[in-house]
Amino acid sequence: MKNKTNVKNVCHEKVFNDLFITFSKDLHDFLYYKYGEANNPQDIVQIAFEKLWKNCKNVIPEKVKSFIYTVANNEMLNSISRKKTVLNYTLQKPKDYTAETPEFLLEEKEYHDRLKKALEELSEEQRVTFLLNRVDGKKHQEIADMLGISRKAVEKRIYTALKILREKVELGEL
Amino acid sequence: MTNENKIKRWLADELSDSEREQFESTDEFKEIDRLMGAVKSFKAPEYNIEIELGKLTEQVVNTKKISLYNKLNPVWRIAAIFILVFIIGYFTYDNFSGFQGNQGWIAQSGEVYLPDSSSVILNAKSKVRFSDKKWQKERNIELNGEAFFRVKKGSTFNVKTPQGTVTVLGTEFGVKDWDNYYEVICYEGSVRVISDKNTVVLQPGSAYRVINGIDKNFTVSNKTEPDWIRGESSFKSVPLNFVIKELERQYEVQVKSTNIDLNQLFTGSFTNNNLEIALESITIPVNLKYEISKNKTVIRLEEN
Repeated sequence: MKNKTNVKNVCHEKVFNDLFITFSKDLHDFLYYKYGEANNPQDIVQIAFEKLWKNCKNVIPEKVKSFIYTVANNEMLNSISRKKTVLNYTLQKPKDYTAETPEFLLEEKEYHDRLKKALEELSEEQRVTFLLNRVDGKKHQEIADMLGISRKAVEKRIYTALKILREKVELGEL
Repeated sequence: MTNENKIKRWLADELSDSEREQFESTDEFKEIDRLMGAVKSFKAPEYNIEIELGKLTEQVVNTKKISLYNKLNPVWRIAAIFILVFIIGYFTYDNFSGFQGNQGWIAQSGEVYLPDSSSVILNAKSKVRFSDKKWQKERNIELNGEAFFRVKKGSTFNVKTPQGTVTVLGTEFGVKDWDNYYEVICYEGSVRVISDKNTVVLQPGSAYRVINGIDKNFTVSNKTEPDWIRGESSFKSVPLNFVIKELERQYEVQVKSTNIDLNQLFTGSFTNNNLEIALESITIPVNLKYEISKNKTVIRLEEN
């Protein structure tokens, strides 16, 4: 049997499924942090991979990541309603509920609300980079690879995001 | 080192142990640490790769089927339809397992085992239908009424009822579909429910219900299987008329009521094994009285 080159075929079901397993969650989290929940990041991930399947003949495995990120971003931008980014949070209940005073709990809630607003007001790039690093635990280099930017750029974005968040959260309403 | 550099290097995990210790004891760090802690509560929602892959596979397979059809030129498309119709016609008159006699519906009590040893338990007056032959490729089962499913991990498992479709990969859940009442409860694993109103994904302990066109999510606590499997019908904030309909099914009776508010919400349960006790359980909390006909087939309900 003629031995084809080692290049895997994206049109192969197993190869395609493995690519989905490898990339889907990161893409989903990326879309969520960048655009918020109102724009259905789950659906966009589905659409991106459907398009990959349709074009499987034309995309080699090495190019898959940039393909799905490009498609996903375009789909988002084409989304009919460009709603304001809305992130959700579940306020973690303090461990020993009864030990906290109502004043403390109120202050905590207000702190979280300021933080939520501040996160939503960051630029998309700053927010995505910052949250992927601090919440998802992705290393600087990993994020650089994901977004196709330099490691230095990642460091700068995270630092700037932190600076802005601190200003807005500590000083309260500006 | 400037402050900015120090923070940047701390962010990149590049400080030496002593530098880090020193930085982390400052007041400034306390403030940053609080912020970093609070930020964690903005984590993206859980992304279930298995379920999403299942959804994608279904979608992609459908598109594949359609595009194959479109590639045929018009004459062949017509021929394709006729051939398909002929094959369907041929097989329904043949030994197509699961579609003989009673048109393939199974309505037995006790556990019904499916070809992959997943199982389904049917409640009163309920029935299921599925194809033995096709089970390997796709596990599709039709349900009329209410059933509790134990699904072994494998290909996508779909439960289709008039008001919706439930999709799972391997888990335990209950589906209830009667007139104007659609309910799915997840006991283990996770299920996706597609109904006319909405698409939701349920985790263990959560449930989704559509009553008279209004949908809501709610929780059920600490249950591994529905109560009716152990002979008890229970309800949480359900309009009374649905409770009565369940009684009718369980006991094969007909209930006639006069001047009763059938929309009032009922929370409670009744036994499936003793009609009188069951009637007490329903009537006492809502201040009604009942009368059983001589031949035990008709119940009259009215205000106390």
